[in-house]
Amino acid sequence: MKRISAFQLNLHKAALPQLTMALMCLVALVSCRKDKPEPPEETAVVVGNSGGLYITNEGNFQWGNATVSYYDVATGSVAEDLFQHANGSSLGDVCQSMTIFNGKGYLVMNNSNKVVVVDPQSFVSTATITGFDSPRYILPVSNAKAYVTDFHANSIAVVDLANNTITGGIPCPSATEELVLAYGKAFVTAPQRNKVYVISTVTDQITDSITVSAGGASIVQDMNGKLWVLCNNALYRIDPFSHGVEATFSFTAATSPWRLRINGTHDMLYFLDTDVYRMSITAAALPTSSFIPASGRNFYGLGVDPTEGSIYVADAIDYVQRGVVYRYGSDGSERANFLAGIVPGGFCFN
Amino acid sequence: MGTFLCGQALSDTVQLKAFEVVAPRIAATLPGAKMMVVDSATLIRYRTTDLGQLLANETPMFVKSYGLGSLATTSFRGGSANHTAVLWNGFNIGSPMNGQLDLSLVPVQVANSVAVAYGSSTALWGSGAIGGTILLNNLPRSNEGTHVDAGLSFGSFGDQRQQFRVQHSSAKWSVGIGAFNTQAENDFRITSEAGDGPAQRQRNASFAQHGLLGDAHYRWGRKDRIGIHAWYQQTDRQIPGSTLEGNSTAGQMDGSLRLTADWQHTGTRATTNARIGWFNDELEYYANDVVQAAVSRSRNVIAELETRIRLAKRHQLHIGVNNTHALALSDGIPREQQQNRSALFAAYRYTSANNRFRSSISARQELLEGDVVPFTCSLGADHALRPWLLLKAQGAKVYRVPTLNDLYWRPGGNPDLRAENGYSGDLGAVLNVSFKGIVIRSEITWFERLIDDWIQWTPGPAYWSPHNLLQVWSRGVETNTSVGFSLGSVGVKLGLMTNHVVSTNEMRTSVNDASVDKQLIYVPMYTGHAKLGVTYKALSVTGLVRYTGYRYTSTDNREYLEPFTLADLWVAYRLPPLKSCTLSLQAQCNNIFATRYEVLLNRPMPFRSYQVGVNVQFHRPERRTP
Repeated sequence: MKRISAFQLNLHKAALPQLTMALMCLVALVSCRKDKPEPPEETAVVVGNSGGLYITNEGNFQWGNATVSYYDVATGSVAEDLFQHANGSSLGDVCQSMTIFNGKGYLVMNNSNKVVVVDPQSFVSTATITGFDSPRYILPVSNAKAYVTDFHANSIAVVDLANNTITGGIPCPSATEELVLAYGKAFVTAPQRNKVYVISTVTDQITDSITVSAGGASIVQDMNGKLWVLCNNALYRIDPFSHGVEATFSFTAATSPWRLRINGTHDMLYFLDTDVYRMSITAAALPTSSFIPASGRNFYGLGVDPTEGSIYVADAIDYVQRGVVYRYGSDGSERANFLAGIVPGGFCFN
Repeated sequence: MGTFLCGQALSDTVQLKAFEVVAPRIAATLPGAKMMVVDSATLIRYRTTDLGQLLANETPMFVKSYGLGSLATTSFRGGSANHTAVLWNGFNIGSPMNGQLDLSLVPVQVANSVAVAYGSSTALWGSGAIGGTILLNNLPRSNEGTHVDAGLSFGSFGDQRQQFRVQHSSAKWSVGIGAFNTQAENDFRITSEAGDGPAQRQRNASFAQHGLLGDAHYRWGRKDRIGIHAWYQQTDRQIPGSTLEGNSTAGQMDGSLRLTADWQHTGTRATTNARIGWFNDELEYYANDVVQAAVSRSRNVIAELETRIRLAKRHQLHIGVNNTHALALSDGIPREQQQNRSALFAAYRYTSANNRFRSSISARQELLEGDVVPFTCSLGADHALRPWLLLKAQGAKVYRVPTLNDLYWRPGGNPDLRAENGYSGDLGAVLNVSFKGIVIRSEITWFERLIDDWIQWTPGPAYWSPHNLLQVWSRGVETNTSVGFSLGSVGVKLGLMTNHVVSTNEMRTSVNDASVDKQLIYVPMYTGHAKLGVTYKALSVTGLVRYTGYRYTSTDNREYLEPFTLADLWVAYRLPPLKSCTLSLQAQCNNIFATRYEVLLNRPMPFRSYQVGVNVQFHRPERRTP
């Protein structure tokens, strides 16, 4: 800031009003904006009424802004950040998934390295299971025991559901993702190794592995007991007894299908590949046209109501604002849409 | 800087002895430009800290800090970290990989002059100088004899700093050597003292840094000078997690060596400057184990030739060429990547006969790997309407080229990215009044800027990727007022800065996008600083209060962080000199009212902290030969 030292005080009386006017005009050119945000609308939603669902909003990695919303289908109202309201504290960093089992809600908090146990009605936290590395999904395999897959640990955690502690680990050579229980065996996807691992829920050991292709992170079981695994370039049908691949449906174009889901009657598959696609379990080929076109939306989450059949699709938009969740009828027509939290990724049906 | 405390508090001007040294470019005196020079008393006060703290406390920049000693980047006039250029002795020292510089890694000691140029000056400095430019210069001395300056300090959370500098200058030579060492545990309390439950402390946040500085200048004849600068430093720090993450065990080591050489020839009609800089950076990041660190290395070689020609009495022409060659080798990019940029720039300056009107025009054309990137130019003028009133205006066309990470990072890098480009303009008025010994200076500025093809990294199903997504409109009003006066032997200086910055996205990125006309995340709309400095004989007391308004953490502006106000107090006392030695004592209290605040979401900042220090100065003047 150079002082213009040569200039002496020389207040021209006539120039003062001019100067004041000029400065006022300058300020007026930029009208001040209010920066204080409006408080969010509080809507009374009774969690636990029949016909509702939880939406897990991942939030941003390392920001600690994960939330869980609840949508009441009958009234169309949404409750936001159930955990904060019930417990007075933030849920954590990246809520990867939610699973309800035996009247308890299990929230897998990926980058908080923990699983938070809540009462699904009140959302009051009743326990926290700690000691994970990068947990992804939880699968109860008996009333007393659950498996938790992990992105970094090279081990699947064995959790005692009675006292909410990790009692052991099932070593496996890579990251593990979604998993299902079928005929006393847990089938666990390992997308980096192109494998599905088969674990005996009695011995907690890997007994077999099924080779698929890269990127297979989602797995479902159909009405015939068959397992379906969606990989980057193909959809596989696997026999749960022989562990053999029965059918391979290859994607021809350069696509990136993911989020394989199945309906309540376990006969219709749904997945995301920019758009929403669906395919009957008896179909001879992959669908050629989309079921719900994205039309410029950024589809990130997908869920199918097991009882009522509605399809829920989440648009994460730019991942840094509240996402929009769409509810579609089983005929593909839009029934409703509502705002969820940041990066809505998963649905858990009550 | 032997004139510690005395007589400095009332002066805004850097009191460096002229050695007919021409600072790079004519930016410092560019008509219409808004500059803020950090005064030398302030610079002394921050001598042992990092640039991030200095800029956060003393300038209108919003510094996005992850905590003490942790990553700190700027947002200036609503831009991103990539939109502030940091120049050390005229060289852009931003990483060629991500285009940014972690300000917590820049000790204030590396420069004896720190200035902030507001607004866009890509026509002068090239890609990235959009929101503003930080000018760090290490200017040589002349005929000052020998200065020795040594200091040490201790602070809260295991903070220990030592610094040493010796400088000798004669008529022909100027040589300086400096060393610094800083370490801190940063295990500050993250739960409030009144809060329930056991006290929790920040974990995994220790910081250690040491470095060496050197410079030498030689002048021969009346026309030539050569100089070299060296800056070596090594930083080893832990990276704390957010409060909601699991236990972080991450760490990072940063090493850098920066070498520059320059030659200046002052002719009767032209001053020519040739300079070359070699900048080597290495970064090792590890999540758990240093053995498994991800390593990134980059090297930037910048060569420049510029000449300033006095065409006629009031006409000056400035032309130059620059070549910047960046090379990066990283675990994150597939193979060694290079980027070569060549630029031709020119500026013309006119001063009216009565010196009341000055104007300039500058232009720059850059070639990126042989391809033409957007042409930039700027136009500026100022006019002393009244002896006490100066009006300023400037307008510029600006750009920023994608960084090596933007282009080549695996996975996600997008080689098809275009350069960001846009326009910016400022209008300002400076009022200078002195009345019965009261000196008042007040500057008000209105700015507008529109950037197209704003590059944004967004996550996809598999990985993050950058795209030319947004159009960002930034505008605002800044005021900066200082009042100085003396009451007998008490000197008083008041300073007030206010900033209103609206920076909004104007482009809908998808059908449901609610970010249009919303403030960018982590750009506070309102910030303000108030400062009171009082000097009485050898005692100096400075109080600083700063306000940071709402910062949004979601692009729909629904999620936000609360505003905060912080107050700091600094006291220094200089003991009577003993022969050539002067001893001074300093004490500092930061966040006096123990305000709980977060600059970034779930990243707690320290409550009250203290620092005490002692500094010894020795000065032996140069013996004059008749």
